[in-house]
Amino acid sequence: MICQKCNQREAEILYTEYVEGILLTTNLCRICAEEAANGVREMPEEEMEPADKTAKCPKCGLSLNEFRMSLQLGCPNCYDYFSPFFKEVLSRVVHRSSFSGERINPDRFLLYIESEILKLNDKLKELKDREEFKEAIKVRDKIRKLESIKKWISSN
Amino acid sequence: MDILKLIESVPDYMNESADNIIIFQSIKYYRNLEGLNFTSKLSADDLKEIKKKILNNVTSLPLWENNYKIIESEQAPQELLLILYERGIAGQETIQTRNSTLIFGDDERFILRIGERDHLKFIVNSEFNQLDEMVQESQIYIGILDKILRFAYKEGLGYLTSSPRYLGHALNFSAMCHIPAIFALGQIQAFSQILQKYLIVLAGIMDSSLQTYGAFVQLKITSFLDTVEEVKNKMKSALDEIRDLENQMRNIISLERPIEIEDRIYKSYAILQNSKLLNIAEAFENLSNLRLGVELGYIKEIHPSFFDKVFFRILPNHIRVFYAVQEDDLTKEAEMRALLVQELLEKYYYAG
Repeated sequence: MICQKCNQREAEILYTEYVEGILLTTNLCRICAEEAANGVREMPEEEMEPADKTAKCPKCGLSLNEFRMSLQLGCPNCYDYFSPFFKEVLSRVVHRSSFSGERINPDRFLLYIESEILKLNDKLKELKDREEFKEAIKVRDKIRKLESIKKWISSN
Repeated sequence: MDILKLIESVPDYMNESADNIIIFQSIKYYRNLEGLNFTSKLSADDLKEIKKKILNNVTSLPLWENNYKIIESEQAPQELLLILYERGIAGQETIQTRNSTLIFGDDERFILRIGERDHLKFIVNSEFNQLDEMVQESQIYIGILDKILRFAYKEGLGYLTSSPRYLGHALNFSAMCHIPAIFALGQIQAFSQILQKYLIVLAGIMDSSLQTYGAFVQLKITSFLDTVEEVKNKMKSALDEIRDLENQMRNIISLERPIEIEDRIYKSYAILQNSKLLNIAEAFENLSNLRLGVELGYIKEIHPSFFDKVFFRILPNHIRVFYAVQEDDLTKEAEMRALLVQELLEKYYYAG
């Protein structure tokens, strides 16, 4: 989402004001949010920047200034290059600095797919018995879809 | 592509939405191919190659059932992109940069945007009561795509995206909600506290717009180093709390202010039935009151699916394109909107 004020940078902050009984919310980038809050900063600038302010990511050439303006990174390598900066910001924003999950692997959903197919087959039978054919077609299509996913995962 | 047919259609996930508060919900995954720069630092040729690679691999996936459309934003007519934007298929970026390719099924449940800030955005839309199913199904597909395409990923950070706020499983959830009683009773503070507690952002009706109408709001939550399960649980808890608050307020309205609320509902009904001009804000505000009237049982003669049919159709570009209204002719647009609402009210009038 783009900042509603500058229309350039990514909005990161929901700026909320309650004016004359009406809730006014604006999605703002960090810089515009700071301006809107009369210059009250979340953290001092020197804490946000690494020692070498002119440093650029060696892979894509993104500079820290460019990043601060757009809040967008240039390549996966930027995460290594600007790592100390991110860890500080992330721990302040979300109170943690690392992700504890894993890559999403479709194989672990095979059991789920199989149990869904069983459930849907029962539902299909009930719908047919009740002669609710419109709904039955939807369920039949869902079963076919899950079967093709199962086949796809098994064959890959 | 038949634009008029698209305008008249109701996305599958909106059909017969039977919930009083959540109209539909979506999950969006942001992904980039391993070893490559993000889109802003790619050459046009590299971006072309990436699009080709993704397209070659995604069209054969079981999610489409061979029933999909591919739109190259560069060549697409502006009016089509604006309609797709209002339906959440295209993003603001699609229209601004004209760089991306869109793939979506006829039911509009699954959408892929290729070549925006991140190489791939995978969107899954679902009905109000299908959060768990949506999460499971979307993870299967995004997992399959990862196996085929290999996304940029780093232990401890998760999937790497152009904006660091999506780190983790790199996704956001959104839910389109209708909370008229919270607004009517001015319970904004209690509502804001729930949003703050779960780091939820309030957005407008259209995908990246901020404009809210009536009591229709879109709630968004972003991964911020979380797993998909963690984000889902936060969203679930937030929606449960909002639902409780809205239901409490509906009880208060019904018990303590029945005349006021009845007056509000019937005034809105009369406006919708009789007005000659309806701008977008008026339309949503009055539809919001009418919907509340139907849900609270004051109005029994309107079939609830009326609200699903009218939701996207009254949006500005849907009206302009369908009725060939000039972009700056707001009066004509309002006139056509009023006519359309009255036509649909008549169509979905039933004896109860």
